[in-house]
Amino acid sequence: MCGFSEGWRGALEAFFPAAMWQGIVSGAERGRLEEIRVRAGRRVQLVFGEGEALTDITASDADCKLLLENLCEHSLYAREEELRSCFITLPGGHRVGLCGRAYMEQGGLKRLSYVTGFNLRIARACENSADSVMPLITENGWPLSTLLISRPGVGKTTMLRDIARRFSYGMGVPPRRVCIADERSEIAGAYRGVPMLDVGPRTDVLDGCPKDVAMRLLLRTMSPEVIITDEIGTEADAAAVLDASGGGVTVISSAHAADIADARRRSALRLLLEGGYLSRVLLLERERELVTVRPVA
Amino acid sequence: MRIFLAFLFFAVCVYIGYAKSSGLKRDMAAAEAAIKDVVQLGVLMDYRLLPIGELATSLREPGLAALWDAFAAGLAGGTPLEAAWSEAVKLEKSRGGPGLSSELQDILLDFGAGLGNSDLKSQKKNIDCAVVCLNRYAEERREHLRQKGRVYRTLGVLGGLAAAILVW
Repeated sequence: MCGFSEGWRGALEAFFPAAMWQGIVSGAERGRLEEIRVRAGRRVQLVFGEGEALTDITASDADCKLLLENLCEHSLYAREEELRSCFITLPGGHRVGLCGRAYMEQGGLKRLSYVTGFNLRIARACENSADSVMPLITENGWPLSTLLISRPGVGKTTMLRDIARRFSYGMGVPPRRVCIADERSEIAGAYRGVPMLDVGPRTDVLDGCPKDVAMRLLLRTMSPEVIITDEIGTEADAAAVLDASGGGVTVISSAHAADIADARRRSALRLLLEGGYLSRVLLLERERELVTVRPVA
Repeated sequence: MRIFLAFLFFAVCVYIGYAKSSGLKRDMAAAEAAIKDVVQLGVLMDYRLLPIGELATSLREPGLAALWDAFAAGLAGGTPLEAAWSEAVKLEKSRGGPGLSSELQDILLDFGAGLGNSDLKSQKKNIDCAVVCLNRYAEERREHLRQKGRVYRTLGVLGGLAAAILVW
């Protein structure tokens, strides 16, 4: 059961222009709100667990400017790295994806300006989302190196968070030292380095660091028993997972793929799947609000 | 009665002369305090990467602490940055703060217009620019004080003596 943070109203109100907030609050009554999407010159969109709606409020350029200023606490310099990654994490673990005009330098995003698109994802703690997964990823209480695959938006990150929490608390398994390599602050929702979402008492989070670097650092410095990371996308990520697994640490990770065949078509995942260290590959599927998990390799 | 009036006129004139001279000193002190705070803000931005509202509360240079407090309070109250800064600078002036002349106000308002709304590199440039302007202003005030401070005090004493003699 997903426990949506009902405190989201109090946590987010201060960021929005007053008129826009009124529209959001009145529109949010119709269901369980998951996302608020603001686009300059267009109506504010609310995305619910089931369905979506456009409010009567149209966001102006000034609204977007004020929203960005508020989200960054009037301090764009303090959020420079996050802006370069096109997202901001807010207190409470809520996250905002950003779109606008990108300025590139040496192949990387140097700066994002004219921010005119916001996707505010309300943090949720699905405390039982890993119920069905735990028996599949443990053997005699030991965690097994696992790759979760699914299409975007199915709930991989939420499930990884619950897996971290369960190993960390020792819920149904002996407690483990868990480390999270959280490149985009999605798993732990860390704000200024402090996890805003419950990831357990024996969990350390390396936030904002590229996954491949983070996994190697965690391995050397935190002596983890389990490393959790999400969205394996590059060969460097896959190599770091293999390094850590080869070093005797259980790595539980996720990746975007529609199915196992799709996963094999991606070079990074092929490297991982053929590396020989994965004990489980699980496919997550979502129908309405129900997430099902099945082993595929 | 005459003695009393003569003494009163003398005291008032001396007070005016000294007040005028002190005004110049306050003006210079405010500019120097602003330089220290702005430089300190740049250092804090670089090393702590905290939001501007939080950094403002840690700036404690005597003379301008109230300005930073008012600015931080404005931001905490949901006022947009530029408006919060502008209100804090004007509040400092209306409060009869330590000599925020219109020239110093203009420098601070220009500085506030670029505050917080760009990356760290641009923030540092904004700070460097403000420091150059503030240094130039402080130097002018220092020169002004050197040239005119003693003149105001002397004029106060002499004017007081003249008034006392006339009354006598």
